Amino acid sequence: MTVSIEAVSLLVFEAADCLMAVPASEIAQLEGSDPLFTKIENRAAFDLGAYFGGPESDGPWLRWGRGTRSAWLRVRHVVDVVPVALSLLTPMPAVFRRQPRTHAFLAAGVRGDDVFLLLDPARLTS
Amino acid sequence: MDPEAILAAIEQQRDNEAEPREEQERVPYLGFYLGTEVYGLPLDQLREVARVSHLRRVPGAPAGVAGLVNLRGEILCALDVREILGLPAQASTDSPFIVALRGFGDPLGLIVDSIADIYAVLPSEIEPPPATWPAERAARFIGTARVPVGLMGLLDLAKVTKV
Repeated sequence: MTVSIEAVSLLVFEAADCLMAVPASEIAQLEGSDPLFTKIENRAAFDLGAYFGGPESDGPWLRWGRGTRSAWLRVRHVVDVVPVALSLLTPMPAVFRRQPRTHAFLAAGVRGDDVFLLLDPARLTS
Repeated sequence: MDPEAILAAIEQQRDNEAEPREEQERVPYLGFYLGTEVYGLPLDQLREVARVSHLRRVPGAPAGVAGLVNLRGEILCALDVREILGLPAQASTDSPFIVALRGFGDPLGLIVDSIADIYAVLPSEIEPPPATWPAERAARFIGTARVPVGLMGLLDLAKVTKV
């Protein structure tokens, strides 16, 4: 039996001067921007501001997990959790899929007049 | 039939054929401005022109890509023609235009400063890019044509959109 998914709940956040989103179901935990927490070692962690070539993020950390994979993502701030119809998501144009950094964006969607990018944290590379 | 009348009829027919043929050969181009310079692209490769209310830059995008634009719910990849043509950067226009293109795999558009007019150009009027243009820039044009507002650079969209 196949189950069709028509909408997905996305956690929308700002990072690298951009609106991004990940499936809310893949975010297990939010941590504050405490510097002590930031210095914890031995974990997969990505400051999304620095990752995309901008200034470091100064907001919370999101613990992302999918199956056995997990990573910490630092963002500027969390904006909202919104349900989005899959039909309203547009695959990223080829020019972005070819680039090592923007390859991490799966699709783009619309929130009001603005555009957000659906991030696949599994594609972030250290 | 009077030979004079036959001659007149032949000439009339010749005129009727000649005029439309010249009109049919003219190719309409949309002229647009980047700064004070005018550029053109074939109208049949154009889908829509709209003002850009919100351009979302994509971090890590290659040079030449301005970002993504929400055009009434459709997301377009907006190309920065100024950057692609190697023109000097300019203070951003308050509300630039996006020229949505047709015939490409992904929804694409060009960010331009303003729209000039539509110009009908005969192929015989198209001349090579000026020798003073750098080769890399000249390679992105099919040529130039003289229009009332100046020398219009005719973009080769297949090359301009390869970023």
